Amino acid sequence: MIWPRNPFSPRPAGPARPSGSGGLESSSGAWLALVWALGVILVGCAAPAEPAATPDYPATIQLLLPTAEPTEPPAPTAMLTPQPLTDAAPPTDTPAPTASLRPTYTPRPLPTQAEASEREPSIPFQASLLDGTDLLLADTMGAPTLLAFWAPW
Amino acid sequence: MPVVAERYREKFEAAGINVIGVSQFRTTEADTIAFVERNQLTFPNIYDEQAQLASAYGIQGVPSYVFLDKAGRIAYRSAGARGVDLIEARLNDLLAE
Repeated sequence: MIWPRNPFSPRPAGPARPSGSGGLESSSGAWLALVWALGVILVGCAAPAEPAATPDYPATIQLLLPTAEPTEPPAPTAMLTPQPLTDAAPPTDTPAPTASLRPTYTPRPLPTQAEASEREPSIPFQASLLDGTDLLLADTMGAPTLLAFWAPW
Repeated sequence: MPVVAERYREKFEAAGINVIGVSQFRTTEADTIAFVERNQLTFPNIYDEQAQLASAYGIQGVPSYVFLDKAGRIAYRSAGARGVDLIEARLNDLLAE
């Protein structure tokens, strides 16, 4: 049976490497690199860390972004709270009221029509219409009249 | 106002209901006439240059409506845009009196 050669076993004796092709120079370079790396690590650990740059809008970001810290679980709502089995109160089907974020529009009711006996008299007037004819408000009596105040815009 | 004019042509005029338009509030007579022609406001219209009628009736803004009953008394007032159906309902109430 042939076993593969153990890569960690000592290199078998063989012909000497030609000088200048690596050998000691390569080993020295590796040591230098290792020492330099250790030095960098030591210097980095010893030097005080520079404070992180403060953003210009810390409060806004903190308010809008969820925090990475673990938060307490939300308190269970009343609907999720288990009721004791001995509780005789009947369950209610009414869902819990939820706040509506959508604005609701309620039409403004028309004012109540004044009773006929309480109505105030109109202000009589005479005016020229756009076509040049004259209008007397008194001429409109006998039928309901709508005075519509408007503007052309 | 064009919707009121349309309803006037369709129903109010035939029912004998009077509609009088009063135009003022930062406008000109020429603009008023152009608007009347463009939107076919066939009911009588007044150009109240000095806002005399608006002042007399206590009008604060447009559109505003003053409903007069058959006796010429003020049945009620309405300020702000209203649906023409509500206007018609009020006028029908006054017509039925």
